[in-house]
Amino acid sequence: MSLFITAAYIAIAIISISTILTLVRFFKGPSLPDRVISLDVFSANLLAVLAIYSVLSEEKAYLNVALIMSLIAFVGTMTFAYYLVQKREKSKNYDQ
Amino acid sequence: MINDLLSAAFMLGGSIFMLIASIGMVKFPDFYIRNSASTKAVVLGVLLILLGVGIHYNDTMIFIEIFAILFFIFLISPLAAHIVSRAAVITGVGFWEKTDLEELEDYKKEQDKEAIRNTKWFATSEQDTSQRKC
Amino acid sequence: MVILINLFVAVLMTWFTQTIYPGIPNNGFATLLLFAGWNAVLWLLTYFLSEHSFHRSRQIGSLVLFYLKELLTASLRVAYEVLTPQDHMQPAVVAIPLEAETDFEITLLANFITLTPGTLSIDVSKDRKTLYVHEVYVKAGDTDKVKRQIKEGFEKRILKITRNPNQA
Repeated sequence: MSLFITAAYIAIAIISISTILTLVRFFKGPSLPDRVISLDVFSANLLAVLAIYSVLSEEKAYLNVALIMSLIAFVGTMTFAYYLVQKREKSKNYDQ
Repeated sequence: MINDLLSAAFMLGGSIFMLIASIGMVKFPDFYIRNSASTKAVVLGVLLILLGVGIHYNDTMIFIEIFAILFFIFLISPLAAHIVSRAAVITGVGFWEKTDLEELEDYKKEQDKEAIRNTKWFATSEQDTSQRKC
Repeated sequence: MVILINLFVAVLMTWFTQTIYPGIPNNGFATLLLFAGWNAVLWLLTYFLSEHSFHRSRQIGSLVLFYLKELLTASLRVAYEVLTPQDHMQPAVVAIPLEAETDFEITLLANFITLTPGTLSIDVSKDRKTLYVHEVYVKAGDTDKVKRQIKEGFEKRILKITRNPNQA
């Protein structure tokens, strides 16, 4: 095992630890925006793991998956923010 | 050989920044501080990791793909942070106790909605349970 | 705007030249050289398209460099904050009066502010005159210093690029 492949494995290990930490925030988070942000960081971690795994397996197609991941994560965050604002407006109208 | 060393260093540095971002997610006391901290560290971490991958492949097509990913990340992640923090202010997510909120008063007056004007911005334990419903 | 179009056309032309001429070596250094060359050619061509952005290209380069430097210092500051046990944070919400007027300028400014040390842009007021920013490092309630830093750092540079001095 060369030095480079060892470094890649160590990087994947570090990113796995950080994924677990974001999941801690996801389960603990007191409000919904906390969870949305932790999902954002989670998807960025996933993107990084995909990039490094594409180096390890010498398969260039995984980088395309990373590109699509970055787009879909943005759409998810947008949807959650829109949902939050709309929910707030709806509940206010209901109160009145 | 130099290629391998460089890309290994870039990948390790990027992953360490990702780790810092997620430790910050757990450690910091407030949604807004967590948001601003995690965005920066994640952007730099993804930048470094993708540069490391590009140096390892050393290929034109891969560089163009990486350029596209980095362009989207740089465009998108501050935008997402801004939109989510705006939604958080509107829904009344609490600030940290030490936060100086003098200049937010104008913003509160501008919103002509009763619910926002009466929001107590500091998170107490009761408020946390009430926010869990929404 | 012209600069963005230039960037994408340069990427496209790099790919074309790389695939059409097999004599060019397929490695990262050659790609970088080709990319810089196409950028230079397109920069010369913008002289006929808009003279303003032709002359402003040096300031655009300095803005990009400044942005990358700010991103690096921001991340290092977050790292320092995470790795030391006690916290030095003094957060505050700062209302920044805006000189930028058009949509493009405000978007650019808000996006840049989110990636500078300790700041996060929250919202723009309805009359689009103030930008509310959450700033983590405010020393002893000194919000004027933060305002001055942002106005002289980013807003000045952005306005220099987007505004045409001949028209105004």
